[in-house]
Amino acid sequence: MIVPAIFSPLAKMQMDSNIHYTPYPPTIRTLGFFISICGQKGYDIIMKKARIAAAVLAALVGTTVLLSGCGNGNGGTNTTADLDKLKKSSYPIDTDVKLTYWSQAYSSDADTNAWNTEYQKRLGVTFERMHPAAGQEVAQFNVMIASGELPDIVDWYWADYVGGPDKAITEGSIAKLNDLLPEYAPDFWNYLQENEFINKRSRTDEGNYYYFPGLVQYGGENEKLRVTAGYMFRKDYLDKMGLEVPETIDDWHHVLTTFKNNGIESPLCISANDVFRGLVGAFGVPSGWYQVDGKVMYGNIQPEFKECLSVLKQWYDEGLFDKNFINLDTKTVDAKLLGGEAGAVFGWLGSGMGKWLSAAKDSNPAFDLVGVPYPVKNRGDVTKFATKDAVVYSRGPAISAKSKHKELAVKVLNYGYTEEGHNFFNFGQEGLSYNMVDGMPTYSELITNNPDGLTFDEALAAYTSATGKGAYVQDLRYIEQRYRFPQQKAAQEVWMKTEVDTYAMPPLTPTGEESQEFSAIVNDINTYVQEMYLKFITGKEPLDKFDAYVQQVKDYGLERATEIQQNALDRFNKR
Amino acid sequence: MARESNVIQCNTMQYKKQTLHLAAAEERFGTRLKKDLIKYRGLYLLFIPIVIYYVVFHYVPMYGLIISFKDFSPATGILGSQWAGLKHFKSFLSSPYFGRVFMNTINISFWSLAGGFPAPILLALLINEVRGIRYKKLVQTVSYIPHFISLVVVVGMIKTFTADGGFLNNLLTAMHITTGEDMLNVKEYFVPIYVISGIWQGVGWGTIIYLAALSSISQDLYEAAEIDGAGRWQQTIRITLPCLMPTIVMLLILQIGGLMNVGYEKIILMYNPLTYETADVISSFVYRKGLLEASYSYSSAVGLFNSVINFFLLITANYISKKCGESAIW
Repeated sequence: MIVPAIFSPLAKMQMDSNIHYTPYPPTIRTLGFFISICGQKGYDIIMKKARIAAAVLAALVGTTVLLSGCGNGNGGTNTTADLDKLKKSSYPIDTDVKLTYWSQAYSSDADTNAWNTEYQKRLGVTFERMHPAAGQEVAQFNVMIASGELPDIVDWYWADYVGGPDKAITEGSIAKLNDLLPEYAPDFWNYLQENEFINKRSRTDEGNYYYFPGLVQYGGENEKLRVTAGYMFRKDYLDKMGLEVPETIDDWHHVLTTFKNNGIESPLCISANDVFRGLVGAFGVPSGWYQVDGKVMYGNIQPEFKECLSVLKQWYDEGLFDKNFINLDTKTVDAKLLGGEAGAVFGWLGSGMGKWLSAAKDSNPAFDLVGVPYPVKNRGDVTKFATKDAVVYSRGPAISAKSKHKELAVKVLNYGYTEEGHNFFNFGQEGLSYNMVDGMPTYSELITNNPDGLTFDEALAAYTSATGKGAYVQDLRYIEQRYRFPQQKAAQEVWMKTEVDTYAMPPLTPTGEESQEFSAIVNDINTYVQEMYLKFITGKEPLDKFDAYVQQVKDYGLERATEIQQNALDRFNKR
Repeated sequence: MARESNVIQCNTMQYKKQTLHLAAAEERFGTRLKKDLIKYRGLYLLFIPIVIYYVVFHYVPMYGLIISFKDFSPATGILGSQWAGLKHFKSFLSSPYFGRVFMNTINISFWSLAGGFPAPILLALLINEVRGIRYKKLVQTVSYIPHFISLVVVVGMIKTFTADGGFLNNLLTAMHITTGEDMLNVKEYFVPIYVISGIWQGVGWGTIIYLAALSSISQDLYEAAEIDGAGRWQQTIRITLPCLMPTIVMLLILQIGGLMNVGYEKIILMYNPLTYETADVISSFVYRKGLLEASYSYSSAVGLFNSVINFFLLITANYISKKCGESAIW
């Protein structure tokens, strides 16, 4: 499919980038020039090759034309009778409509796995899935929005839409769902009515509903669902060296130094960004925005942040961080942790801790991990900032404003919130991937001890939708069965201790104009802050310059940005 | 004897050229074009895809340039969006990053040109001197290969070689040139790494056009020079280089016209916050603004600004070349 390039710089950038290496003549005139310098002999040589090339090119051009001829099918509008039928119908829905569905791809076979096949069978609707290339998601999403051609369903972080979700509605990108939800998504709608906490976070300041958020059960024990990641240390190293599980920053320093002195090459094997996932919280600020008693603050310019930087710089100088601190990727972390070179890492409970523990189980029985509490400055304190998932996930499917099947799409997305859908998303098919044991959905052998040799998490991904956030409510009973190592359960308890809910920003929806101004300022600031953060730690800028740095951030318009955030927070609190 | 006949040949050619020129001027453009089309039909056929490419990807998009003077919103489309005047241009010129990305672009471009332009010429001259046909082909093929390696792979190789503990880094550290720190984290090394790897990628491919030009130099000239007692070095200086000069000048003009175009792909694959200071260029800035931050109008304005500079550079280079008596594009 040829996407006609409408936006000059976008298209130009893609096309012009190789200009240094392809010095081809841009005009006929130039071609003539070449003939004159290459002479008849050169011309003959070129022509000989050209006949072959021309044939190939013709074939290529032909193919593209053919491909671009394949447009969208499934036209037609809905009659009132159809809509009435749809309103009353249950699943599977009796329709032959195909819905186009754009979402990030998590694994190559997710579209055709057992769960997805059954999902479409239960809905009675076929999806035509579309995915952006990995790593290009934001760029491809923005190009899609600019082209104005959206698939029926688009799964995205709508709060990040420039101008906010309200603007996405007024710009005609996505549909406002207020009128459709009560009629075509009664289960979702009722859930919202019963849970004001979620309801408040699922709509904009103007009261517009626009997406089907991924939700979790919340409150009490359910909070476990929101704890998915944290810092972990090699338990066997701690034991061997006679060390306690570290609690304070000083403890951390002591443990890491001991690791280093005992020949562990990379005591703290975390990337520059992993610092922001909780370590910085020990000093009482996060990276970015937070609130104290309803007042918006920016973490990266606070004196506490400077204190954090000076500690990090010391650790960096002492070689406690990994040497690839700046561009550390997960593969390197895997290799170093399992290879015994790393002493502490940041990781997810399932795809981190679970993976590492089961990988080392046979090859290195001594290997053990312990989830450590988020560090604090004074013993006994509880950290204000840590990694904890939101109750209302900011990503979720919305429906294109131009879709011809809005009602159907709403009905389809409602399925995850129905009772049947709830079990299907969390546990898969009854009798196949789970059985009811004393009223408790229990994963079957297919998941726990997969005959095809899939790990627990792989089997979960193939037969349920529980591991990914989607348009449904995640169930506590899933998470209780998922984490099978005692270390994981213990880590979950430890990482739950944080006051982040008091200080984190709720999902805000800035107004259109404010939002554009805000993102312009914040993007300038972010580039600078990120740059200086690494320079301060690596010592390329002395920490004495912190005040100048703060001034520079203010010069970029921090006050105005804070004001915009404050307004948005005030509006949120008034919702 | 030989030299005399050469002079005569040259004079005849010049005479012919003049008469042809006169004759051509009398005919109408349409007729000339028709004749030309028939005569070089093969070349024109080959040229069609290029025309299509330029129309589709370079001329049609120019219509979209008007969004740089508007506040583009996808809902209202290109024509329906509000006019914003020069707002986006002003905002770019007063942006805190303007000076940096502008100077970085020029810096990287200059060194790419200074290093990357002569390299294929030298290689082409060297390949031209190789006598064994098989060996010559081997050298050519090997030197072309980097051009066909995906950029992501090339950058992956660069990262591996220059990382802490990488082959190149170890070598340079042993020679006390670097300190052993990951070289891509040091802002001073970014441009050299970018330029040198760029030369490696493009040098073989760049020789193609020069080798084509070399193959058309009349062997008579070399024979005559040999009889006059010129060695291979003298032949290169007195015959090969002067005959290559028109090609060299033209390619140089074209490259100067693209001076402000530093592709964003390689940059964004290679840079990190520690090297933004020397690595962030206009195109990577446009990429972040336009594609990641969805400021379509703003990034179009930056792109247009960039193109206008390129346009003037091209015209200036061509003008200077013409004034200096060398060949020119028009």
